[in-house]
Formats: sequence, structure tokens, C-alpha cells
Amino acid sequence: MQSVTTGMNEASNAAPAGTAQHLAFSIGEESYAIDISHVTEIVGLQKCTEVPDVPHHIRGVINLRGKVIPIMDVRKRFGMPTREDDHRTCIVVVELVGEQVGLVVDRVQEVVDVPEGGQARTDQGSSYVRKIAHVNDEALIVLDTARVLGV
Amino acid sequence: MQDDNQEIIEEFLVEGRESIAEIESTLIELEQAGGDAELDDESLNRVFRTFHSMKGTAGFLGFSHLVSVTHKAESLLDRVRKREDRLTRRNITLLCRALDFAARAVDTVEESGTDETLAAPAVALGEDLQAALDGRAPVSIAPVEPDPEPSVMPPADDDDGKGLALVFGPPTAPVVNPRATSIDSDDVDDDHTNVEEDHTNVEEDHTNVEEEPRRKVAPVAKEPKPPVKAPEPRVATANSSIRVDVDKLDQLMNLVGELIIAERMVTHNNELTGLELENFHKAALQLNRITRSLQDVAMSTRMLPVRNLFRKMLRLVRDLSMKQGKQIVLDLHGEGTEVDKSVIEAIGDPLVHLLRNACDHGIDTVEERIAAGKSPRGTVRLGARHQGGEVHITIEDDGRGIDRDKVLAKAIERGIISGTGEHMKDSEVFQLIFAPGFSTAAQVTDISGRGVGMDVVKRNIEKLRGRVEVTSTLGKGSRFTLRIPLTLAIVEGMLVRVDDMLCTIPLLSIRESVSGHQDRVTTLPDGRDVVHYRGEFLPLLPLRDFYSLPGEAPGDGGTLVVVEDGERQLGVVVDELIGQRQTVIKALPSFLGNPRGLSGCSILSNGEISLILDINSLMAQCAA
Repeated sequence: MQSVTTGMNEASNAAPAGTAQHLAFSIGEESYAIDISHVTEIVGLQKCTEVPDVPHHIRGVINLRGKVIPIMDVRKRFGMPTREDDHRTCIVVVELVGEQVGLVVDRVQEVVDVPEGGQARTDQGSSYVRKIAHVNDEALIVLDTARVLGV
Repeated sequence: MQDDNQEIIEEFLVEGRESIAEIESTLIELEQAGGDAELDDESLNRVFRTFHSMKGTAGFLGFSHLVSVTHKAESLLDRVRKREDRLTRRNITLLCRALDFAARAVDTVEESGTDETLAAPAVALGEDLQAALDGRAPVSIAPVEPDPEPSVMPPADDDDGKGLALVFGPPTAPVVNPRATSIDSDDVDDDHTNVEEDHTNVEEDHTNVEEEPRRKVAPVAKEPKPPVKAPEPRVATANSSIRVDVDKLDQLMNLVGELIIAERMVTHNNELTGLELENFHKAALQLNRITRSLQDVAMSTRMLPVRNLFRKMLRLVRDLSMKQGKQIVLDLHGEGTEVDKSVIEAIGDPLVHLLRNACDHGIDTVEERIAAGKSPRGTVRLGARHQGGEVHITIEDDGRGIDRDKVLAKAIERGIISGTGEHMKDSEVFQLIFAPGFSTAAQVTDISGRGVGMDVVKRNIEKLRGRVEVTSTLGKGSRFTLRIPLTLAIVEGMLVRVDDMLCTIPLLSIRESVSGHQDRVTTLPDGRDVVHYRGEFLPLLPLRDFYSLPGEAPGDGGTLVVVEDGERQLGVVVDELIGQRQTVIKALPSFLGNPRGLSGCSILSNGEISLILDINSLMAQCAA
């Protein structure tokens, strides 16, 4: 199992004032970002046990060092077409209000500093989006972790 | 000093609760002997000492209302000790109220750090206690005092003497000792001189927790009289013990669970297959033995005897019998039976409901009992014992019994069943009383009869993966048996496979598994399948269809696993049986909500996850 324990909370000291560290990942052509403080680790794809009778965007559960963690397919959550998993498909494990959930994403990119404030997106687009930021001349869709998880 | 006080307050809270629970049952035991001259001095002294040391600590900490109440209770007890008064029903009730007040004070102190808000109840109770001390009629009416109707009550005379049998009934006229009026006891300090041996104990209570159990069994009276009953063996009399935070025990149990999984992952690792590893297997065996012992020990640290829980019920039955004007004996058996702490916590409410039910609906009135040729005194037996991997708690009464026809009529009226129900077995009919909204009581009393409770009993027991069984003979009585697994952390299960899904069915609910059932399946007009099994037609639940799994059933139709829950049976169809496994139960992540028919999951030795089937929930799904 390829496992990268982020330990990114330490790195947050290095974030320039007025910015917050986010983990960027891609799904299809678009880049997304999620608040780094919610991310506990990134693990490679592993065998997932299907659980019947759960929403269709839940793939099932995995055994992460003895802990049973539910896995959400972000593509399905966003209503995007699914695609075959490949060697870059990753599970980003996030923790919010004591609940750990693994998010299946196409590819993990890097840790980026996203400026605070900026354009809030409540008027249009999906409710999972907190705002759209411009980082390195690219549009970055900053996600609202709680809404993505639905907790 | 502030820290010291905080520590003392915490000890006061813990010990206060323990001693209140303990002496409440002692008081009620004493009630039986109370009217006689043959008082059990040791028990009486124990009650006295508890009030006394509570007063001492409360005085030190400045809880003035608690001091005034415990002081008066102590004075009353002192007069009883000196044979200047007797433990009449009224006095016992007053002392019980004093205990209730103390329990309330402990709660209040825990919340707010003071008992100042309890001024009003303290004054009211203080006046009643003072009245008893002065030999006057009570100022206020005690909450459980019924209308006295002594004429219909035969005297409670003989004691059958087995187990711990207590007779409760309506009060006789209060016995007031004429000499009592001459005693005045309003000065807190004066009566200290009466009890030399207790002076030192008050200090000890603050400093030495572990001494407590031992000190209590030490004979107090210089010339001990033979006790009325054989004294119950005290918990942990000879062993030394320490208090441990329950969270730590939970953590320990979780870690042991993880260790068992990890051990299997190592010793049954797929990478070992085909290798000649003689020494490895020896070492693995040794490791296995140690983890098993560790598991047993870890489990045993969480086990408690049911004694304290059972003893709390004495007070309940006493109050109920007084309220209803019935004579009820509560007979306790198997108080030393140990079960997991979480089980004890979870069965408290169900026991209260079942005992209320037994006292209210089960036990008949004295007139009815005499007319039926029974002893006027009703008996409720509360027992506990280990049976296999389960603990069985029984509540048995010798009352009216359950009327099958009345239950059926009510179930039909309430729309709980359709049809006449005449084909139903008695045991199935009796299970109907657990349906929500069911109640056969002709009149609603404030004790029971609102149809709330019995369904809660069943739900609570099912949460523990247990079940409730009912047997009853009309006119003779009823028996409720709670069957609960000994531990909630580990389940013996059968691992089965359906499509790619691995499931564990708890062994406790499996009756039998058979293959080649396909020829015996009949499809009903509404499309449901039933299977002919041992002369009965059971509903059939193919898990593949239930969970809409892809893929085809194997050619032979798979394996039929007959599961049961109390009285109902169900045929669950799986692709294949893999084998028996002892698994550590893990909750499914709450993020998943409540998938139908699943109660949790467990990690297998190869790291895969199996889902634990919840038979009760499958039954309910199937019936719906």
C-alpha cells in the first residue's frame, strides 16, 4: 500500500499571511482544492468492500490499519461520468467532526496557498463549491468539505 | 486547599452514590425484621454509619441541608438501635426518602457544587423526620403512602426463608413508641458520643478508599447477635482493588480486539502458504494462547455482578406493592452472576419495565388470589445465570398469567395482526405484547398500561443482540427471559458469501443450514417465496435479491440458513458457507447511515471486511 502521511499541519506555519493551505487534486480536466486541515492522509487505491443499501456515490468501506472507513466516489457525488480506476487514482482521507471518509479522486496534485476571501460562489454552480480561486494563473475550485461529505 | 476540597468532593460523589445504593437495599431487608425485637444489628449499624459518615463529609464540605437531613435520619436510626423506636413501615419510608434526598443532593452537588437549592425539600423532609422523632403524625404526606385498608390484608407472617425474600404490603398503623417523645435530638454534636467506633471512620473515608469494603464487613457490635439471614458475601472483601476509569477499560478492550485481528493477520498470512515453518507455527500457537488469555482477562475486568442492579429493584417493588395495595415478595437469585458493564447499564430500564408489568398486570389482587386458592402473597422472582455464551435474566411471577384470547383480540383490534390468529403458537401470541402501542390493561394506571414500555424493552434487548422469551400459563403466572450475549465486543459467527459480499451471521441465531432446498420452495400468489422446512413453511429471504446484488445464483441454488429470533424463523439464502469465525465487532461508520439488515462489520484475518447481519432487522424487513 503506497501511503503518504501528509503531516501538513506543520507546514501550515509556512503559509504566507492571508492565505490558507489547500490540497489540490484533479477530476477530469478540472482542478479542485480542499482545506488541508481536514486531510489526514492520502492512500493508494485498495480493495473496497461494497456495502449494500447505501447511496450510490458510496463505494463501500476499506480497512485502513484496522479502522473501517467509508469511501466516497467524488465523480459519482458530483454526478460526473465514471471512468476506470488507474494507477494515479487515489484516496484522500479527510476527517470532519470526528468522522473519517475517504474520497476517491483521479489524481492528487500538490499543496497550494489559496488567498483568503475572494469570490464566494453561492449564486451559481454546485453547492459543494465554496469559491473559485486563481492560483498560478489557473482556476481552482475550492470545495466545501462539509457539504461534499454531507455532514 | 481548593484542590484538596475538589478531590474530597469527587470522592464524596462516588462513595455517596455507592453507599446510598447499598444501604437502600439493606434498609429494605431490615424492613422485614423491623417490627421484631430480633434486629440485625450489623445491618442496622451499617446503615447508621453510612448516614453518619455522609453527614461528616457533608459537614466538612459545608452542605448544610444534607447535614440536617442525614443528622435527623441518623438520630432516628440511633433511637432504633437503642430500642427506643422501631423500624416501622413509616420509619423505613422516611429513611428511604432521606436516601432519595441524599441522592438528589449528590447530583446537585455534582452539577453546581453546592446543595443550597435544596432548601425546600430539606425543610419538608426534616419536619417529617422530626415528627417521627417526636412521635407525631407526619407533617406532609409521603409520596408512596397508600390509603390504609388494613382490614383486607392478612398479616404477613411466615417467611419461606429461601434466597432473599422480602414481603411488601400496605402499611399497618404506625407503631409509635411512647418513650420516644422524651428524647430530644436537635443538637448535631451531642449524638457523636453515642458512636465511638465511628469517629475515626469519618476521617478514613476521605483518605482511604480501598479500606472501605473491608471495614464494612468487620464486626461492629462487641457481642454480635446471629443475623436474621445469612449475610451476603461482600464484593471484593479479601482482594485489594483500585478504581479505573471506564474509558481506559474500553480502550483496553478495543486494543485487545485489534490485537486478535493483527495476530490472525500475521499467523494466517497468505504469504506463508506452502512454506515449511515448524518453529513459526509453534511460536504462533504460543502467541494465540496468550492473546486468548489476554482477551479473557480484559473481558473480565469489565464484568460486574448484577447484585447492585437487582437490589435497586427491591425498592421499586416495595413502592409498587404499597401503591397498589398488593402483597408482593421479590425473590432474588443469582445476584453474583457477572455480566459486562455495558449490559448492566442497558438492562436497567427494561428490568424496571418488566417488574412494573409483573407487579401491575401479573400479580393479582389479594381478593383474586384468595378466590383462586393461591397464597394471598404474590411472588416475583428475579434471577440471573450464565447459559452457554449468554446470560439469562428471568422475571417470573405467580400471578394471572397472560390470556391468549385477550392478547389476540387486542392485537386484531389494534391492527397488529390480520386474521383470527388461531393458528399461532402461544409463544408467538405472547410476542405480540411487545408490539408498539399494545396494551391489554383494562385500565390505565400511572404505573403501567399506557402501552409504552414493552416495545421499548424488546428494542433495548435487541440492541444488545439479545432477545426476550415469554412463557405463561393462564391463572398460574408468566415468565420473561432476557437472553443476552455475555459480551458485546466479540461474536461467534458463520462467515457466508453472497456474490462478492462476505457476511457474518451470529451463531446464536442460526438454527441449521441445509443445501438442496430448491425443490421445496413454493411461490405464493403475492410473489413471495416460502420454503418447506421440518413441517413448516418459512419465509424465504435470498440475500442476493434483498440487496439487489448483480450476478447469478449458483447452479444448486446456494445454501439455506435457517435463522430464528425468539419464535419467528426465516430462511436466508446465501451462495456458500465459508466457516465459523470468532470476530471482533466494529460499528459501521455512522456516515453510512443505517443500511438495512446490518448491525456492524468485522475485519477478517486476510484484512478483508465482512458485514455482520442483523437477524432481527432482517425478520422485520421480511415481515413488512
